[in-house]
Amino acid sequence: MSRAVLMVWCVVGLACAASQTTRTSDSFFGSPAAELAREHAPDLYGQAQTAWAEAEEAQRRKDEQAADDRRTEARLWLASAVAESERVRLDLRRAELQREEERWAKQLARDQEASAVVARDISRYEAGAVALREAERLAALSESPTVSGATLDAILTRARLNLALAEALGATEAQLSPLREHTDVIARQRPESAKAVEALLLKTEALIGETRAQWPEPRPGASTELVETALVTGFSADRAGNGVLIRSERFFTSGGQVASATVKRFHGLLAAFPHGPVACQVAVPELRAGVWARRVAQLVERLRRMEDPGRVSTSMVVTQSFSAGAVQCTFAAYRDP
Amino acid sequence: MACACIIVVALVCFFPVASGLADDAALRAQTAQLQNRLGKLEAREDAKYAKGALEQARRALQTASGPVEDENLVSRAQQIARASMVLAERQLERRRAQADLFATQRRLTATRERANAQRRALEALMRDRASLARGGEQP
Repeated sequence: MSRAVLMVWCVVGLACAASQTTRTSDSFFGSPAAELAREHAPDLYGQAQTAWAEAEEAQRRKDEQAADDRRTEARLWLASAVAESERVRLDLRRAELQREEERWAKQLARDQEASAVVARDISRYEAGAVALREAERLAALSESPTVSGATLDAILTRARLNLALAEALGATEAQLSPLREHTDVIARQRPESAKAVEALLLKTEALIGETRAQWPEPRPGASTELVETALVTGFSADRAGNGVLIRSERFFTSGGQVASATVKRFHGLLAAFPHGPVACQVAVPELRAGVWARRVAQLVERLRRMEDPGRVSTSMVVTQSFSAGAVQCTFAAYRDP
Repeated sequence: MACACIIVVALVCFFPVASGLADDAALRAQTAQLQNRLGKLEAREDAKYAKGALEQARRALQTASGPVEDENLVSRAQQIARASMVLAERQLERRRAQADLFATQRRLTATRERANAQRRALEALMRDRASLARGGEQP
């Protein structure tokens, strides 16, 4: 009887030991970390399994020392596999972040480029606005009986620049000397009369025109000079295949009257660039609009008040490209070769 | 005839001894290689981040470099040393990957912040340009 009980205990004990081994193996290789290790580091995981199988084999042989050693080895291989799988996942995450970083870097580069373009536009707008204010200030001289010190200084600078340009274009000493002396006198006396100051400015501009007019046709580079002069006198300007296009939305005041200051600036431009016909188009909402027909007629009449009244031809055009009242003039002789 | 018998007996006795000596030498050579590999690992600047694994490898190699009485014991100690050093290497690699990830995260954060700031600047510039375009002549 006692022998039978002893045998039953032995069988139960062995079963428990076997079950314990299985459970240990399951918990050892069945953890989520081990599962990931099997996926990302199959070689190391395989070595861990081999070592574990050898440990079980040693256990069956009752070689406790060998079983312990193999289990230790299996744990080390599995730990390596887990570390490797973590490294792989860290590298995958890093690659993902790098791709995101590249996307942001590309957006940054695009925005930097776009910002530079917009900043250039702003500079041009601001320069244009400054030029416009300056040009209108000068053009409005005759509307005020007196001239301020700052305006006088600006006009003297402009007059001296005009004389330098006329000299560069070929004006003679006989043409330049009287105007230089006149400029020096005004600089010394600093008169308050706007009329005298304006006369000086107009004379220097007329001299540039005269000098240019001595050439049968515009000299090389004249189209660039026209564009630059138009810009500094407050117009918008572009070179096109059929000449230089000068544009302004300020030929009419908000009340629909012809803006004297703008017409005067335009006359200055015509005088300084004397070659060829100039064709102007006024943007209107519709051709039969009586209001615009009257306004354009007034503009034509004002534009003709110059030395060569037939040089400028004016027409109306219905277009959505410009706002109503915008005027675009083509200086046809100033074509690039 | 007697001589021949003596020679045969001597050869039969000598070969196992010679074979055992050769095995000993091979095991010792492997242990020396493993010690060399451990030395290189311990000399790494970042070795302190795999201290535990390296210590285990060192202990296993101490066992492996003792008198070769039980070849199996030496072989198992060598295997433990190998596994410990692989673990150390993988731990160091994991640490390197972690450092790279952190550096990338920092760079990403900085780049994203710069990009967002640049986008805000661009939007402000575009508003300015639109305002200037409405207020004055086109350049």
